[in-house]
Amino acid sequence: MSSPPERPKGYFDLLGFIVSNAIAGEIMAVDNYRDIAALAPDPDFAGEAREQAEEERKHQRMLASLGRSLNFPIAQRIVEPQWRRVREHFSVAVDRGDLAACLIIQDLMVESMAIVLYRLLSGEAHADSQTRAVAREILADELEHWQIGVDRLRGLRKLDAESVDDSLVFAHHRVMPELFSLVSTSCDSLCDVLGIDCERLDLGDLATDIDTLRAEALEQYVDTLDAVGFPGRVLHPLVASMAAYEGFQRASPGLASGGSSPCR
Amino acid sequence: MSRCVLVTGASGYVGGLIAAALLASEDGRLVLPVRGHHDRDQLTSRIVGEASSLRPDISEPTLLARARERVTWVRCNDVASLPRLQVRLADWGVSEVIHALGCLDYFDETTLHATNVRGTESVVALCRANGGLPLTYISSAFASGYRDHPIPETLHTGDCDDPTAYTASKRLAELAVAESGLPWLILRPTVMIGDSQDGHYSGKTYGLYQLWNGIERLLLTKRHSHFDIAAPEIPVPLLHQDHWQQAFLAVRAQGLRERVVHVASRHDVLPTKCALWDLWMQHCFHPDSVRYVPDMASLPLHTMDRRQRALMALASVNVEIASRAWRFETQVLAELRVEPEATLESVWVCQRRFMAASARLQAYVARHAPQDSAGRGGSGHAASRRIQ
Repeated sequence: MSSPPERPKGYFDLLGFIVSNAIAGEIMAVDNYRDIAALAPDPDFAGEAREQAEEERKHQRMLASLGRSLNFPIAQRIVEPQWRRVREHFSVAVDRGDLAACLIIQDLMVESMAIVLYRLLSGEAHADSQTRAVAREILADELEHWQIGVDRLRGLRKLDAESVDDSLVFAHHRVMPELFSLVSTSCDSLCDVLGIDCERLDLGDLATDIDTLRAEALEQYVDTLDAVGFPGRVLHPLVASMAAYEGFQRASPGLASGGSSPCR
Repeated sequence: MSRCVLVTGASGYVGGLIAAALLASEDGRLVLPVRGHHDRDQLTSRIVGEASSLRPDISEPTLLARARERVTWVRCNDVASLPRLQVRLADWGVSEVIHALGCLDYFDETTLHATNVRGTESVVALCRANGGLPLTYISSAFASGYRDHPIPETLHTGDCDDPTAYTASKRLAELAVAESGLPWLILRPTVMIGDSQDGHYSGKTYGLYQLWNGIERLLLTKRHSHFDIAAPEIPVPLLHQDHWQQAFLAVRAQGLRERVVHVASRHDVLPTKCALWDLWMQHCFHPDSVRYVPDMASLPLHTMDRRQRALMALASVNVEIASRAWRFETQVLAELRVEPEATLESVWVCQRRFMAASARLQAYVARHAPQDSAGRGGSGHAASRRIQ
């Protein structure tokens, strides 16, 4: 039986970067689900949301434990500003009493990104066996949360489709640019906090690339909106707006006549 | 003193093409305000590259020397601060302004209004404060919004059905120019694509390039045996960048004022969206079957391939715009005997360049090229093609 391949330092630095961002997402999710519980229309709904908050806290512990076990650096707090901004937008939705927007942000948007992330980490060709095992367990929970969210929003749309569609538009333009900007190996200050070299982070260590991750995140998001049943007239302009996100622009030096970069 | 033209937006695509055309074809000096973060040597190099492409009879070193002699780059951090240049315009001897700066982000209404509408008002103020300088405004052929009839070369007033906030912002900017009391000219190009001869392109990923960029990002992870595509059999109003430059110079040479000019390619030879997609089928994907539908609503959204579905969503606004039969009157160009053409063949020149510039596309084509009976790769394509 062959022993598992030895991983380079760059792999563990990258893992520290990804897992720290995942922990930040889980920390935010705990608060979000607590707020959802407070807005819930009935006790069962509230109980389920509190349960979800507990599961997110469990994920946080599992990821921290993974970092300790594999000895890679992690931050057990929210570092990147995008997470804070997503949480702020969520809080605005709470203040408005907009349960649909809260569910859309947490259950659809954040969970969609989490699903893509944990799928990456649970892939056979990608991570080490211990990381894969943790990622698979969390992925199963996140898929369940996603499905609960899809079902809840389908239910809300049956009662008042127009209002839920408005909540989607509100949430999309605020939250999706933030979440997509996190699909990157550059950061605000996370690498400094972790003591790793931002310039040297290379997703090649996980046998994938940022473009592939962005494509998967986009596909998952469109799947999610389709699953809820948002109509094309609402969904399509929102997704089309994502073409302007920084990560979807292409710079092809071979396209231009000179050596310049494309600019407005 | 020789003529001096101030061109806004010269660090961008359309403004850069205008600056290059002026550098290549006229003797005057150019004042080009740009934001501080731009590398001026790089911008000069790009403009010289475009000028050289337009005038291959002039060597690049000659054009570079001309640029160093005649171009003044001016730092200006945003369009709202353009009026601060007022006191220096007389020093430079600026005798006219070409306003090509604009925002194309369909969905950012705040920036669209600030840049396209308020920014144009700033430029109008700048021209007025300098004794009423003539102003040429680069608008968009789509500033009319959707129309059921050929779009006239006149100002658009009244209620319009706009595809995006962008078209509305361009229409408002046109009115600000036309009602300014300045001598004015408005040019309305259609959808710009690369050079008709070699396909080079230095713009952002808008228009057709947005779709191509989406194809590159989303569709290359596997072989697609079948495609479901929203692509109407309607001509796409494309305009090659070199044709834009030639038309711009021809119109300018007439010294027209108080006129609106559509800069659009001949309608009868424009490729349809279906035909443009066929190029991808023939030269990249080689599917077994393709089904074209006229609009997004006709796609089998819940059963089609998920990546194709995501791409269609990403491109949906442009698909919707392209599903309308746009037709532009081109009276002025006809009078000048200027007839730009964008054909399937000339668009293929641009697409081929796009594909050649992408290692991922090259690898995909190499991996999935169909083999003939002798095992040789080829670009043949015999997919069954259904149009609904």
